[in-house]
Amino acid sequence: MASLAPSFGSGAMTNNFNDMKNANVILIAGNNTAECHPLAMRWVLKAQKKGAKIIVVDPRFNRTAKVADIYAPVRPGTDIAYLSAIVKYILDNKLYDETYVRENTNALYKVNPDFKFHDGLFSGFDGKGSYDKETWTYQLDANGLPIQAKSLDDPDCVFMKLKEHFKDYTFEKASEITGMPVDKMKLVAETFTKNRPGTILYALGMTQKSVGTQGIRMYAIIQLLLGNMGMPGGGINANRGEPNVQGSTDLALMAHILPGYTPIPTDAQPTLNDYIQAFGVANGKKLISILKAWFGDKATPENEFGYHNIPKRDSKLSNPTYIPIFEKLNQDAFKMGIIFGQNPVVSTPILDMALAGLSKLDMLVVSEVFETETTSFWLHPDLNPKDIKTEVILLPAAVSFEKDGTMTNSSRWIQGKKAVVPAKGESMPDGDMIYEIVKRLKKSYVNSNDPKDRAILDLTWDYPVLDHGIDMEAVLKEMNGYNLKTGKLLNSGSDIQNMEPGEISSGVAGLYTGVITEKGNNSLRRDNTDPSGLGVHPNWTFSWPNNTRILWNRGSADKNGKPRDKNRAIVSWNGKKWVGADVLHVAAKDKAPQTPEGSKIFSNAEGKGALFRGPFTMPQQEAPDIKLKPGYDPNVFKVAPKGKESGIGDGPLPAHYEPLESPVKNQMFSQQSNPTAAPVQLPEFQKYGKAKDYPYILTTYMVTEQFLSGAVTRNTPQLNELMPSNFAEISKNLAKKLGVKSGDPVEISTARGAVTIEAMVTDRMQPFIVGGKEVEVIGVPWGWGFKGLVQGESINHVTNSGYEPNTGTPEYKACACNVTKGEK
Amino acid sequence: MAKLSRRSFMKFTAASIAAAALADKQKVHAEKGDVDKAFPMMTAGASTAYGLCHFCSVGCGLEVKIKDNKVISTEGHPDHPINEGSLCPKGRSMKEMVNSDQRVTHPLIRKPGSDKWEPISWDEAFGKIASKIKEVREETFTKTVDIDGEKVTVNRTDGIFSMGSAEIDNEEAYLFTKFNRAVGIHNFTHQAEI
Ligand code: SF4
Repeated sequence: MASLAPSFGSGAMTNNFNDMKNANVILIAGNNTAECHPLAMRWVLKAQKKGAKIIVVDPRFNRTAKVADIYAPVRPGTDIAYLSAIVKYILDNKLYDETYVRENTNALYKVNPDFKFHDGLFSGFDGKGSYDKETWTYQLDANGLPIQAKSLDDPDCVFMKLKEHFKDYTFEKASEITGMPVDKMKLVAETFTKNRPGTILYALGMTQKSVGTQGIRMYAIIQLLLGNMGMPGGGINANRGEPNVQGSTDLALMAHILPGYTPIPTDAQPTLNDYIQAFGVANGKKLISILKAWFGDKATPENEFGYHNIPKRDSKLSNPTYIPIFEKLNQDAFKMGIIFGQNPVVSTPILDMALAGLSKLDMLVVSEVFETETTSFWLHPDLNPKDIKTEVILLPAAVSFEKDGTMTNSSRWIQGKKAVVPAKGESMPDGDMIYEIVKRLKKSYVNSNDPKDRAILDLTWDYPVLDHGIDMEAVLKEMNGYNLKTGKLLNSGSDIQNMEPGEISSGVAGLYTGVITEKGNNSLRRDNTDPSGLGVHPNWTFSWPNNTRILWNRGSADKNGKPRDKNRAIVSWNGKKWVGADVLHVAAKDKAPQTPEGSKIFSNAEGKGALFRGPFTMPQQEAPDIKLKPGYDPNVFKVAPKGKESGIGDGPLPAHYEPLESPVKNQMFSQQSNPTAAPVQLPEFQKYGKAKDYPYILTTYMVTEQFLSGAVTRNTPQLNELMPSNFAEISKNLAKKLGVKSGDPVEISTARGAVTIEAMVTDRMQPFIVGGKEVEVIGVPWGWGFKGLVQGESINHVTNSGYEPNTGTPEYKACACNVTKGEK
Repeated sequence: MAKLSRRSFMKFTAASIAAAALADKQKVHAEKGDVDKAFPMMTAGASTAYGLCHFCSVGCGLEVKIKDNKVISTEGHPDHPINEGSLCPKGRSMKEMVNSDQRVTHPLIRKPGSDKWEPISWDEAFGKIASKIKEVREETFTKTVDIDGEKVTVNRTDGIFSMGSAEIDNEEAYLFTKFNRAVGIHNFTHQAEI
């Protein structure tokens, strides 16, 4: 979600599944909803029944395309080109919502005159692989606030920069790049702009690319221009993968954040004062609320609330961590690995890199429900167990029905459930395993006086133990947070910002606050009534933040607080306060619509939707001139910036780059691919293929019946009956050329190796005409391996580990390959 | 250590016992063949509980039927606003997953160079893990780094990487983050990144 946050202030599915019925048009691009989120598809179809147009853009005529009103094919990895043509079409034909754009975006902000874009590179490129972002800024007044142009025609303003930037993306040019026919592209553009509100659905089809963040930035730009943000039936609906991937991201199982999207401290912020100065007042308060939850009474102003108990990240590192872990494994950086509920020996690109890496560990600990390719990597057919010295401990995990707890679905609903059967055999909830390990660690350090061990010794860890495990509601309460003066649970995330730092705790920095209050556990609410009829369901479980169901919903009302569309009224100002079916987001509930607090639409530093995303610091007005005490001084909150945006590493605006492995030259610029992509670390594994040897495009995906790596579904007989084996989808054209028919083996080779899989010859795949050249695409589901009741070759043996520089997501969706007739 | 005995577990399902007694009487009539005969329903005598699908992030609600402490059926929950009683094949298969004989039900260890799993007790497993964490932490810990001549406390454990998980509950994920950060682990991520 690294892509939505820079545009709006935080990143998540903006609306929700039920809300899709309110749309007049739905663009599904980078998401095969019918196949991968089947019950979300019900709401797409409900919209269609009410007259909404469904548009599917995908390299393959998939199950979702089957029911779409418009299907437009796109060559894998080139979405930015056709989306740029749509932006140009909106701008050239003045189809944008001018009021929304002027009032709620940064369109009028004047851009630094030194900002340039030339032949695929923005100003500030270091010639190696990164940008200095200092020219991607606004022109600022004496108070440090952005200077605003009078009109959208001002050549310095963001809006005109947008026009200039996208001017070369004609439908014809975009068609040459993407292979999408010109008439189809025009139809998509007309249909999406004419019918409002419209929503956009995406998933891994958009993120698993070397330009993933910028592709989704295109969606943000389009939705801001059309005034679709914050509207029922509008927004950007990221459909996420695993059952609790939204929750696990919120809870920061990632290197660059702490819970609630609180930035991780780095070595560039030696003290808590430095942290607050660097990341702003709001993040400073969030961090202190986490430290109070984690270290309790031991977190005091004198010890910077235990700031040094948290490892500081190397400030030279960017966010990506997944592929770097496998790179470092092969460079002997680790002795021990801990993997809970994940199967990297199916899901990592270049599996040989993962296998060789894990073999270098002294100890690997895995918690799993089933034996997987990862728990049993030493049994991989290509390896000899005798040669592998890694000790592996496999911990049997209890499953969802066997434990109390909450999960956050894609649309931010924190849904609770109770244990309904006892855990099978000796299996145990993952939470209890972690509880036991930490208890033993604490014991082993009990005599230490070393300051480095305070983190373990002072960690709050006294959860009540019930007869079926630790009390998860006690954990949820810690996450929700307390008013430490009264000892009462907090009701609202805004308490973190409004109260004195140090007087409140919140393990998720306010993001989940309100999920459990003195009145009860809201995650267990099951009142499904929907008084507005707009699919809000305000009393069904709890939606973060503050039970808001549609993010940025202040924008569904105009500047006077009146709903912009009376059939889609969810928040409005009644003269005294904001009322409506949904909880007002960002703006203050008791502040009139024209006041600064009552007009705030987005939560980024500017409070405006970012059409152009450069770095920006919102200064504190009238900051006193105080010399701060070293370490932590509460006065820091009077002088630190209010908010800070760091911009995006690969540019303030999206540009079309070819995938890292591409069959053609970039037709826009001489800069072929993303200039900030990370360099190769392991040349023995991370090889790139040339178009002359690997002329086709390999893309990967999933099927309904075999979920992700298949760790669970390939052990489930009823699903295996439906989907017993893997296949490679190829076009009839390619099949004829190779002389193969459905069921015949084909060998798919890349610079990284070859796998043999049975062909499925189908009309769903059609060759693309790209720059006058015919390009074939081969599609293979990726969730196969050597364990489970049904098995198959993993396509990830040959995919590419080159990744998106902002998020770390590998470019699984567009690899260069060759295909030949395979041996039976 | 926390352990759920079958006896203590009865508390969970007690609320549904009345419903279960009612269900005992439920019968289905054959439509063909022995039309006069009535058969007990597969779910007769079962209690009903609420559950969540554990596959994709749509988050469908489940009506879980339980008999003798075993899940015997998983259907779509009619009250859930998103799925309104429907499910995709994965949601329906949840009952096979929980009951599967393929599940790992005991902690296991694979010794260096070995080609097989061997059982290990929980206590021994936790002990081994905790002492290895401590050993690697002590060996590979970076207390400070030098930044422009200034000593900055960083408190990093460099020799352990950690991954997981989008498959565990929020509370568990929260504890996992807390544990990793307290140990000093910074090579830390999970499948959301890929
Ligand atoms: S039933 Fe299907 S659509 Fe619903 S949550 Fe489960 S996997 Fe997703």
